[in-house]
Amino acid sequence: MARDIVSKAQDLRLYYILPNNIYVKAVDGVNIEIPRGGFLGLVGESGSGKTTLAEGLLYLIDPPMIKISGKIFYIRKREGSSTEYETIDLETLPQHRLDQLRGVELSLIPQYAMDALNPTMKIGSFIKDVARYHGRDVDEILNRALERFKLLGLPSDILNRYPHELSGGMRQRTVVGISTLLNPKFLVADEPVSNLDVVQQHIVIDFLTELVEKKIVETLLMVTHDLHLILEKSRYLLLMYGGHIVETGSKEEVWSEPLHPYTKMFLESIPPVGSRIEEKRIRGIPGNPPDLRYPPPGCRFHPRCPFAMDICRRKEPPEIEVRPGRKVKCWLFVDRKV
Amino acid sequence: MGEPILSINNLTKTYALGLARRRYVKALDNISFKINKGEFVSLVGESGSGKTTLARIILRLTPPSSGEVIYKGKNVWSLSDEELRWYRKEVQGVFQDPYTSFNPFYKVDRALSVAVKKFLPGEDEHVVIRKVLESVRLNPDEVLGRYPHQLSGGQLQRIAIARALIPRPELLIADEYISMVDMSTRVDIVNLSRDLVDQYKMTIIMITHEMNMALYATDKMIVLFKGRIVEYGDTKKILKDPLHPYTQLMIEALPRIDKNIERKILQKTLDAQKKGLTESVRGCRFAYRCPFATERCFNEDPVLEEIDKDHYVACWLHNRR
Amino acid sequence: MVSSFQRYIINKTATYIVLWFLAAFLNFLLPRIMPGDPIGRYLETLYNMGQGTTGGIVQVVPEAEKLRQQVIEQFGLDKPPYTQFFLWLINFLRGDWGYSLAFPNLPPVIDLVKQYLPPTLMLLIPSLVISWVVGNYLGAYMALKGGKVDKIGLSSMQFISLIPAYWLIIVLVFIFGVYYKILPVSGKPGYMIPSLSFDYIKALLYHWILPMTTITLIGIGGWSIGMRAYVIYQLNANYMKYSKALGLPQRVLGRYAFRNAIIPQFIAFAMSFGGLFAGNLLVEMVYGYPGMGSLLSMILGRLDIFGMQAIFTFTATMILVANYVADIMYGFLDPRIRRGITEVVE
Repeated sequence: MARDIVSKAQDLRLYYILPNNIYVKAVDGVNIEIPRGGFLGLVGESGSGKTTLAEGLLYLIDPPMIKISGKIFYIRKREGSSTEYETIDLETLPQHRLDQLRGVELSLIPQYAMDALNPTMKIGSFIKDVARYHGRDVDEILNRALERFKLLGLPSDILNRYPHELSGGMRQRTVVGISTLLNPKFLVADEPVSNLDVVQQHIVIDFLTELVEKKIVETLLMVTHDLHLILEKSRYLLLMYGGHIVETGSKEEVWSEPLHPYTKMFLESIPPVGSRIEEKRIRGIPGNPPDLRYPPPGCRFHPRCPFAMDICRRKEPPEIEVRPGRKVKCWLFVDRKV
Repeated sequence: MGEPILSINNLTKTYALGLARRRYVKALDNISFKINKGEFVSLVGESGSGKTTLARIILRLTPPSSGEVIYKGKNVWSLSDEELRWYRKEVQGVFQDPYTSFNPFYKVDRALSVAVKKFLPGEDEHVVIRKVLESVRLNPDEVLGRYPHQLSGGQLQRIAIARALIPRPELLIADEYISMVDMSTRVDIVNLSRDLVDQYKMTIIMITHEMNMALYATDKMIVLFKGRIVEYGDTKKILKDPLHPYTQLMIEALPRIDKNIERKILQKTLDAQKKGLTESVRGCRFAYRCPFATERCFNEDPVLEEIDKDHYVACWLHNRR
Repeated sequence: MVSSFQRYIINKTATYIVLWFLAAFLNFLLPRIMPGDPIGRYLETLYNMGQGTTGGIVQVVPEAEKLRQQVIEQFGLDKPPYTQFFLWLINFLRGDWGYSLAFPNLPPVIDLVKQYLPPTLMLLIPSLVISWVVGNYLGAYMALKGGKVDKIGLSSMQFISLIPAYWLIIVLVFIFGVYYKILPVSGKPGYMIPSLSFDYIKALLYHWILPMTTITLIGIGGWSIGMRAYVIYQLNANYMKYSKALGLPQRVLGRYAFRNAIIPQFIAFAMSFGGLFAGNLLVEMVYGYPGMGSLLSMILGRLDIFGMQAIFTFTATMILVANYVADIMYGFLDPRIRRGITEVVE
């Protein structure tokens, strides 16, 4: 149902083209529906393609990233209607309409937040530009910015500062503030706390959670390698491995009953708080993540999977919908369904 | 236990900041501790705690402003040339970014064979390398003959450890060596370090901001905050009964699945941060963030004191003096 | 308490003073250690005035050795080298640049510069300004347009910038001077002696068009390639990706890129200014334009060590001044220097 989904990708393949004409298959045949509303997590390790998918969902596709196939949709309430939804194909949207959506309805806290700000522009001037080109009242937005920056623990003279006059942690929080300034409906936050200390991490996560709870941001998709980070606040998880979405489901389902062997082993690889090595030795996942230039045939996880069968080495597993919204991409579940 | 393998005595490192308005920042402020042979020690702190400065001073990469580093009875910063060669063999470092530890233009074999030639002249290179790779649980056939970019971060970090093991060191300083390794393989590196300590009687100092891993695997823990030791001692004791509010905060902040875990100290710290109060100039550096701070905390420096056997804390809440 | 920006300026000033001394010393030293016999060459010039022939004077005139001694004493070349250097340096700073051995009447070098410099500046300043403005505009346009415009633009600009100036002026002379006969084939305003008279300037202007066009065209090529690279670099910066993700329209992104890309171009502009004072040797020589380049070629050809040390030091001074101004400008343009790099500790 359109009302339950905010973003959708069909058969999406996003590759990076290297100078020697080799493709990095970062997102390789992804079909997903991002549920509307709340705090969601897109979890994957380095080289899983999570950042590429996140940028792809916002149609931020620039060389060397290229779209090989697939469609990307954004679904929103039709203007002037309270019940009707419209599905927008972001690729066919004219550039100026796309610009109108970005920052306003679709927004991104980028992974590179530390250097996302123009070095020769004061924070305030940049915010003014953002407000002006989206036709907002500049003073109102500046005031809102000040309020939000305060919540993020940033100094009051921040609008008057240049990026280099902020510490790394401050820059990162400034970007969190700017990306949410126009109250976007769908916010993708890509590792928004990666360079922050624990206190600042909680400041940012609490800030984002509050925006979601107050429905200022309708849907937040947090992209992270650290599942624990979003374990408390998120309601729904998407797990990525080797350019594929391997499992989706509510947090409780994924946590208490992980389906995909990768998810299971991933959850088991992190020592729970208070555990000691003498009592129980925690094991990591053996082997190495796939090289996305030359991904293995069949299931991308098969070289590391203790349950790998013959078919796993030959054929890419299908996506099995165990329950609505609960999917797994694994051969082990093919029979169970039938 | 006898003589400690490493003692740090009143170590201070001051950095001058700013081109014009010269300010002096104490990256390390009068730090003292002892490490015994065969201990797995974690040095836990966040950015700005001075933990990397400490690693660099021990590895003789940055000179201290004052204080001493004593390794096996010798002051590390006044060694003769010959002693220095000995020290460089006995004490090895492993660093955060495995991709910058290797020359991208050479196969990883080269880094290993250079180390064998330098430290173990006359020994069979081939045998040493295979053995050392096996000791870090790598399959030599899988990694030899490859370039750094053909290996994963975890593999490369293991090779870095293998290289550090070639001179058969007694002390390994691992500076944030797991932070760039994939989440799902981090624990294996920590397990490996544990085994090196248990099987070969090595001494390892793991410098990290990951409280979780430190609590999980190490024998002894040193918690640093703004260049000072706030808590220090047996890891199991700290896990069971963290005394300093900052240590409590670090443990409290660790993510849990249960939604409504109470985080008293974190909440207070967040409030303080929003008020712009982050660090007091006098007294305890943590006072502004601390829900239990009293008048005294803001004025007087707390002293590191042994509260229980092998459990030290610098906090007026526990200080009996 | 000095601000970090003041400190920046003080540091730069000190550096440039040291550099200037070094440059002056090298310019004093090098002409003296180069191969050749400057005095002999001067005596030849003198001798040839009477004889109308060339040849080694040393063999021809018996009293050559005596004459040589005379000249050496006159110019103080018998004094210890460091005395010579400091005397020369003090005189140079006072405006006494010595006498040129390149001309039989030993004119003061500074008079030669006063005579040859204005035509050169008249040629090079406008061409620098025009090529800078046009080049930056074209470069930014190519980078922002991308695609075919960029491909064709870049290759033509590369072609233009790689044309040797002396060849281009020959082609232009052939087209406009020989074929259409609308412009002069040589830069020397005929029989006229260089001066600041109205007629001379009018004649000069007429002879100015072709070298000016040549140098400007080639300059446009270079500036536009540089600007294009800077703009592309800016367009690929992370802040640009972020601005795009926030929906800022293309024209705003272009403005950001242009503003940040023009900073190094301003600096390069200021730096190029210093080079102008040396003239454009090849173009001036090929076209016979009466500027610093032509003067320099005469001085070099006649082994005039006094002319060399003075003119080289003069041009080095101008280059250093321009670089100094550029450094200070950079400080003003870049907030990271202007407002000081402060370590932010939370």
